[in-house]
Amino acid sequence: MNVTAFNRILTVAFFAVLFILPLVNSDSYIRHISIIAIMYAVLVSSWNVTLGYGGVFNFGHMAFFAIGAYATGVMTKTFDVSPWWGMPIGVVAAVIASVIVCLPVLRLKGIYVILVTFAFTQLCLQIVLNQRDLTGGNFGLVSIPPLEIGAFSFRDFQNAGYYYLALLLLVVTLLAMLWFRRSHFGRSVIAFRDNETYAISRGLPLAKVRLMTFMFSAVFPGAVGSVYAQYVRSASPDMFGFSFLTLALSMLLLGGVGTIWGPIAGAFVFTIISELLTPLGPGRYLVTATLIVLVLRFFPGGLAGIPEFAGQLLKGRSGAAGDPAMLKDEK
Amino acid sequence: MGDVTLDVSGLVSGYGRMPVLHGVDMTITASDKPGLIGPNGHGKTTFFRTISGLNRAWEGTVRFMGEDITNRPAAQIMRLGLVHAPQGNTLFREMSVEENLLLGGFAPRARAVHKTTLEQVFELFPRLAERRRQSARTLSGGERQMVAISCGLMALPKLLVLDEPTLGLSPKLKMELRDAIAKIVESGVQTMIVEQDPEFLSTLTTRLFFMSEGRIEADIGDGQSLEHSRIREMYFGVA
Amino acid sequence: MALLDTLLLALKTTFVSGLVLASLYVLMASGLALVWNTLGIFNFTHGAIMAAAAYVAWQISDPKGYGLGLAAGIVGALIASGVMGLVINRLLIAPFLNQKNVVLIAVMTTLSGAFFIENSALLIWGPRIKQLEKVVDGNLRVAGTVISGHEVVIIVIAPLLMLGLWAFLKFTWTGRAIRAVAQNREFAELSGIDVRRMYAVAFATAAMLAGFAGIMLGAIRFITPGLGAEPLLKALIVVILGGLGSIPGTILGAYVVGFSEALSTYYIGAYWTQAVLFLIFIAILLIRPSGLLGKD
Repeated sequence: MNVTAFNRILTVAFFAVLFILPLVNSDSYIRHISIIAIMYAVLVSSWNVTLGYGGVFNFGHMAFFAIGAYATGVMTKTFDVSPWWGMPIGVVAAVIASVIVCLPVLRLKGIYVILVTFAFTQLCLQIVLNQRDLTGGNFGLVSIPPLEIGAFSFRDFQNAGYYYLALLLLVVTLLAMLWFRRSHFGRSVIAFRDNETYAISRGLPLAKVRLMTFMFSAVFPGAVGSVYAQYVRSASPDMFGFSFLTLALSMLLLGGVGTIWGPIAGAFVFTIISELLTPLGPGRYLVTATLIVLVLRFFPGGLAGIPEFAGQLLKGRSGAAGDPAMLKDEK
Repeated sequence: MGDVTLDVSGLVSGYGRMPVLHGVDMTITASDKPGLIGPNGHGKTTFFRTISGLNRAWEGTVRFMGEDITNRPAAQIMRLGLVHAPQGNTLFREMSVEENLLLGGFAPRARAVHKTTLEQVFELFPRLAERRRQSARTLSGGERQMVAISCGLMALPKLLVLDEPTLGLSPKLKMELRDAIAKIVESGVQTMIVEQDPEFLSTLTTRLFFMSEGRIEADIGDGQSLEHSRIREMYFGVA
Repeated sequence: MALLDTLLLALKTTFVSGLVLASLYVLMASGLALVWNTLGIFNFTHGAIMAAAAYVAWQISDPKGYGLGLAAGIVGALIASGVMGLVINRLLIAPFLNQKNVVLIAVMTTLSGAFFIENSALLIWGPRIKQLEKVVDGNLRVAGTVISGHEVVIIVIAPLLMLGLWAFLKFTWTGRAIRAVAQNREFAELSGIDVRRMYAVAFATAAMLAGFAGIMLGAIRFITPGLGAEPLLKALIVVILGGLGSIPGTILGAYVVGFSEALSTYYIGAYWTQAVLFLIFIAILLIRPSGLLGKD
């Protein structure tokens, strides 16, 4: 059996299990964790577009998610727009935000990109906190209208509607990523990561490609942010915060940057780990932080690097596993 | 013959997975005035980077004054007295000449007498005294070389290694520097000079090592005359 | 004439409040710049150190803690910050310095570190907000506006500390070595400078600057585990604006941001000030991508 066929079978099996899960298990806790894990997988996979394939240290990705959530919340709750417009609104808002943050980033490199995108996230947070009347300030935006079809609410049957909607989003995301990897667009993005000067000399338009990368990657957090807001029926300032960013970033880095399955695996593994740690209370954050540093220290290639690391151990040459495909650090 | 200053045996090192040095052997005694020649890209700089601790030695040993210094941190090796003055384009560019020199004498042993050493250096290179407040970035190529050499002197070296001190300089400047280096050698500081030009070394050294393809191919010792024809043969393969 | 008076008062008010903000930003940002300049990494624990220092100062000084008085609190918190800096450098930075993508890894590890410190503070001191005593009591009337003694202290101390930092980097052997390491790591090693030790010293110094900023802040704002989050953001903007790592640039950036913020708060209102700041920030970066005093 060749690798492609094996991958394909694994993919189908993975989604089959996710599809069947709600039919055989109706435990509300497991349902919740699954929905969160799937949503993280969407978020982190799409972050991979800018950070992994694009080599652009975009730290504003979580802001796109939060903006999607807030836009949906504000429009459907305060302005009485139908909840079904939620997702389009979330996507549009996130894409607009991505354009705003991308404009300064066009001329910047390396650490500057991290700092500007990070600053953008924090400023969004400040604005949300200050615009209390619209966003609920510190307390967040609550009682966002849920999705309903006639008498059927997406919350019925232990949120089965949201589960399948999230799963659908993940399938769409995965297909989009597979398309992206093979498309002309995706190849130009990777070309800029690997050799910017060469790509420009070949006539690739840097500004246009980078702007499109940002807009493309923002679609998914916008959509998932909107669904998340409708699922938990609230949007909170925490979504812009440090802890959320750190968690998502560790999923991506530990899963393996620049791969299709790394981020998805990272999202599932990390969601499960952090749920297992819940009994520790606030102490679980200490464990999570320690875990992230330890993995970075000993498995620099992420989860995807563990097999290679094990192989090296067997060969008797200990040391670091391969680095993820990542841009050289620029100072 | 005297005491052994530097004793390198079987040294292998390189970059990434590519070896550049394929087993270098070299012994220098206190009475030697050593020089190293060889074509570009055959490992001269790599050799010095490895013995001074900037590159890791993959195999082999380096002993300095009887002490095994293989793969010690660069700062430690330097404090033992093996001082490597790199090519002049590597300075603290945003600092003044004087600050560069003071940093050359950073190690405690040198720091204690840095004022006297600084005067001696300025005596040797009066031009640096004139430019002491100027930032290294603004210096000419020759002046940078002077700063690099002087930084080495500030460290009170027991063996001073000069890596191509005249690289890219005009003939006139080259002569000037040679005279200065001759003074350093006369003052009793053992100095190993690396050059591509054997002519330059002829008056400064009594012992020449020829490095080619990562090995010492020839060791022309004290008493033997430095026959240009032999060197030319080694360089170009013709007599 | 009434119009002129109002205008004059407005200018005075914004000048004083701008000066206070700018001085605070100088304190917050200088350590960040020092670490970036020396180690070439960005330290996201900077804000968390501010919060932790404020808590330590509270614990030592407050009657509900050890009750040893404010002076002891400040000294203790500064020492604690320095130690924290050393530990962070040892655990989160030093092991990764030789890796190719150390910049990104350091972002990850220091973010985790910040996460760790903030949640530890929450575990140790609980969610109840606390506040430090002011260094000096009472208010001062300057040119028709009121300013607290504590703020005067901040305005005076910030430039003095920068002067001290400059003198340290310029005239001491250690300071020179720190700058040397920042400029040319290999040549520094060849000069016998223990690079890792200089990194540790720079990090500890930066942490103490952060700690001091946290202590000053802890008397004006309420101490929460997230005390340092907004200051970190401001420090970040200041450092980028000034040109990463350049200390004079950072000081200039701090005053630009401080006064812009004061003016914008007065004329446009606190609601939109953050957005205005971001716009100014983006505009400057578009014109000068490496900051006001940055080199390309």
